[in-house]
Amino acid sequence: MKLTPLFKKLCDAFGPSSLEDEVREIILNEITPRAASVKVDKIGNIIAFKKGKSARRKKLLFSSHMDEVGFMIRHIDDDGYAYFGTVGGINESVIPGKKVVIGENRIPGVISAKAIHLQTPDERGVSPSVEKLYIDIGAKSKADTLTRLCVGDMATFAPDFEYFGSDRVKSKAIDDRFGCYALCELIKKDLPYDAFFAFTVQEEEGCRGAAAVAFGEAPDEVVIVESTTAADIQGVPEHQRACVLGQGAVISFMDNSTLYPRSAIENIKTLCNENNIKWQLKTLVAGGNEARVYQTSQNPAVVAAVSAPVRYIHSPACVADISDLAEVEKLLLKLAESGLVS
Amino acid sequence: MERLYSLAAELTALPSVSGFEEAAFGRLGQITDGLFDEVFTTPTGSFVGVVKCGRPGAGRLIFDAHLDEIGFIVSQIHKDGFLSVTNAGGVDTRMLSASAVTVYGKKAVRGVFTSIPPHLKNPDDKNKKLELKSLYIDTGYKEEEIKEIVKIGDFAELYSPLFRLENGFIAGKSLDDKICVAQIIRAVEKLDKSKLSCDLYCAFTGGEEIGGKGATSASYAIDADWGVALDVCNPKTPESKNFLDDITVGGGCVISYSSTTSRFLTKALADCAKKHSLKTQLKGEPGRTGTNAHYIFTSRAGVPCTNLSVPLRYMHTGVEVVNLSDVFEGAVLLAKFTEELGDIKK
Repeated sequence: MKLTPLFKKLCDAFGPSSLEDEVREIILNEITPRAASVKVDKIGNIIAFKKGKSARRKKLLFSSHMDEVGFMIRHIDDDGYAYFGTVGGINESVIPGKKVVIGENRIPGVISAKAIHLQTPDERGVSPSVEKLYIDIGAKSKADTLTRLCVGDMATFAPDFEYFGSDRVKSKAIDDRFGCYALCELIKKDLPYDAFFAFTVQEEEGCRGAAAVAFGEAPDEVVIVESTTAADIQGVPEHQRACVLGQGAVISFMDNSTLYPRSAIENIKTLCNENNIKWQLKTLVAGGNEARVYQTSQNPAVVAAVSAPVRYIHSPACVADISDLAEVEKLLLKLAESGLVS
Repeated sequence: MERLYSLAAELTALPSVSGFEEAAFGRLGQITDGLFDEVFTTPTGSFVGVVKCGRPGAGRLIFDAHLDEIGFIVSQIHKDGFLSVTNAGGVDTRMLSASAVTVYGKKAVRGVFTSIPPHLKNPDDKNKKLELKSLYIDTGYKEEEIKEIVKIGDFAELYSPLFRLENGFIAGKSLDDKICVAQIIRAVEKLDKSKLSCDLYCAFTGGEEIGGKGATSASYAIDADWGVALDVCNPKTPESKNFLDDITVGGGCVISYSSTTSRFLTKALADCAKKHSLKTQLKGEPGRTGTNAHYIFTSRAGVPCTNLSVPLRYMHTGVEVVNLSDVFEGAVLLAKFTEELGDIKK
């Protein structure tokens, strides 16, 4: 199983919520030649229509979000350090000691904290709260920093995509550039039926892009293609692992924002079993995704979430297994053929 | 400065966790090829290059920069392939979750420190100390695969290639103390050997992060007359206060007056900087400097030793920050100091 170079390109792209431009550009270039129509709506979502061999009675939409978690500059102090808030849910324990890139010019910076030698015994090992963390860009002064960036500028973890281990990848933003990648690859295939594709904005701050797509497109069936947290790490008891790398596509029956319709779940399981696609259920109610807004819009859709299991999600080093990504891709193709509810 | 940057980039990428410095000897020999009249290594992880002045009975000066860096040693290989590690040197666990590392087994493999997923965190744990024993290295290999590559006792270190910030600032891992190894190499490159009246021993020593064993033994072997320990020191950061606030990155290298170093040699170094208009900062260190100066000073029957430091932010992390102009001016100072050492009375 090989991933095309598009996956690295998407993961390395800069795209904190509301600043998805670079990701959007890559996707538009990728899909425009292969889709029947592609439009960018008023708030930046991409909606693509792929003509299949036949029309479908029900409007089927695949949805993935383009944005990633990041940081926003809130204050620059007298020495030129930039203080920030998080955009999307980033656990503070993964922030210190990391490289970031900031703003339009992708200025490199580091987030750290005072050296271990200077910490009091009480401070050792305790992650500083986000308010206390700052970005160091190597500024000479506040005025110097202000010539390079300003309050409101956004940052992300620095791109550092790598293949590692046996057929695994590590990168920032696998959530949800994996979904974007899988949808791009699906659009490039010949499909038996018409299908719609949404690449959405601002998922990490409340699924705001998807809400607009749900209203504007009013799909009947929506498949959310996501990355979901895998806690299959040393020291975590089996019942708290949520899902496991290498065990295939993750199907959700419930998360913090959605109860998925049983019929859709059963249909997906059957599809997997009939087509030899490896799947697993998400065994924990955790997280949430765009299914919520599609399910609760003015034209409620039947929803399902198909995800790749990803360790250390929302960190600079998310880890995914390439074989899982392949299983999700296989499943999406089958869903495009059969729809969500048969 | 470009030469310094490329030296620093290469040196910081060399594997040399405390106790495993030998791994860096070969490449260090290539980097310094032609620079020294003589080279030797010690069994305690030190690499020493000698510049001879050619005068019989010349005094001996040590420049010491430690070659080792903080890191990890594999202590257990778990089911599913996760590695437990123990620390070599003072590791700041707050910096590790979701950080990349390189594990040096039969081959070098990339790893990632695990981070505990938020859904498994208890809100009451917010102020709980993160201990190294609750973090693991994920190498992306299955248990049977990783056991073919890595064994207990192998070492690992942070993975963080050097990169540039603004204004000549650079960031990366193990600038403590590879930046001083680079500084010494630059100093020797700039040295006017015709002015030399002492033999210069450049000691890139092992084991500083675990208690100066390399400097102790190298200094004993060299039997020097003077020593300068080159290391890094903590400067002002947003969290610092009082005395550190006077030390800034970009303000020049730091000369420490300490009760545990040689006053006259420290003053000679400060005077030399003043004479050549080289930017330095002064620091008062009432006790030990926390550098190899202590070990060199107490070696044999005593070696007058002082300490010059590169101010460095976020010591012992993968994103240590220094300014190249500090390092460069410090290298010039070391060259001038060496050339003029003959004028200093023992």
